[in-house]
Amino acid sequence: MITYPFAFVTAAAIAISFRSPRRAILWTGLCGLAGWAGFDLALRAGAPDPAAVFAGALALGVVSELLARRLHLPAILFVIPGLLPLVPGIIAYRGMLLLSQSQLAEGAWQLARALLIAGILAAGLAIPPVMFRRWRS
Amino acid sequence: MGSRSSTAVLQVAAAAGVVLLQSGADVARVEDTVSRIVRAYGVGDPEIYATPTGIFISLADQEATVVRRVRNRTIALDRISAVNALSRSLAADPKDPAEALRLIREISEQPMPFPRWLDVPASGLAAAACTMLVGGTLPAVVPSFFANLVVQGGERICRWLGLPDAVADLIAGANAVFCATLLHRWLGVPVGPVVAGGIMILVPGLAFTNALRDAIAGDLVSATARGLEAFVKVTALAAGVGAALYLVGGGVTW
Repeated sequence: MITYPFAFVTAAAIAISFRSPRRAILWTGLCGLAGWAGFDLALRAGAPDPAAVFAGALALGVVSELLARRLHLPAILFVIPGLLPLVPGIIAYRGMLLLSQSQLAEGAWQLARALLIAGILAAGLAIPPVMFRRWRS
Repeated sequence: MGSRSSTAVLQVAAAAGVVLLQSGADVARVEDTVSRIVRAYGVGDPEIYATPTGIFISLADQEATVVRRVRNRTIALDRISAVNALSRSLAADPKDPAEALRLIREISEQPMPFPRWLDVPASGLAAAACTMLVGGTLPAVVPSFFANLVVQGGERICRWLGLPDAVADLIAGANAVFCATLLHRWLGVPVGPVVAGGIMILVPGLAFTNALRDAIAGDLVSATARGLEAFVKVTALAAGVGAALYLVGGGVTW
């Protein structure tokens, strides 16, 4: 639970760097928190990594769509910074690093895992916009 | 409307598409917005083909086509949101194309929502917070913030000097390891999470995910291009980190 505020800060701070409009910043933090909480709670409930990422992406997507309608801003403003805590950057990076140190099998496995997680994130994010499509802001 | 005004409309639509692509919008959104603008003026059905590096818009029945090349890409969410609002207002009330073009130019030149100096501290803060998300401990957060200020500042300097992106990433990766190692020697802060937090901000995890989002939307060329961009970036970062770890005598520590 101690990590939750940090997910908020990560998303809100990177939103500043991504030039998000001022009034969106704190809400963006909330999206980062929602995604991370979905991920963390699913992990605690015993879900494997990829399933937990899927849960996080769904939570992030739903909260982003709701806020987009409430604030009349495009959902992408909330999704992109909010994704950051969930993104498999470290895994991809670790894979490349292992490859550079000739640990080929482990490196390839980490890269494949990063790709899988990125794919699951993208799939999870593809669902909420469809759910909300009929509800125009 | 004659063919002259349909050319003017295509110019407006292309300008909007270029701003969106330069601001990091996904291809599906670009094509959707551009098509909405063209339809708002009622000049015909557009065929639109956008990729991260360029956009083609054509009115098939009028032999009118515009092509725009897109070179610089960053993430600028304020511009995406402004173009989105403009396209909606154009759909409700199609303004004179020259006026619309002026509004789009205004968007691409609009000042950042926050002062420029805040960019590096904000990235450093995000990296420091990420340190906790990748398994760091509370005492590592504040040192991590300062380490990542140096890393992010160095990266901005590299870009300001006009170094290619891959070189800037390589230097940033190496820089992250050096800063974390210094912190470890001085304060005994564990190296791993500090480097990992910094890497998390630099690493193209977002680019990977956006590539796969394009792929799911069916924009395969765009997905391939973004995936390759991400791959080059992660390779450069890992090379920088690997070289620096070799120099300071560490290994993969997390």
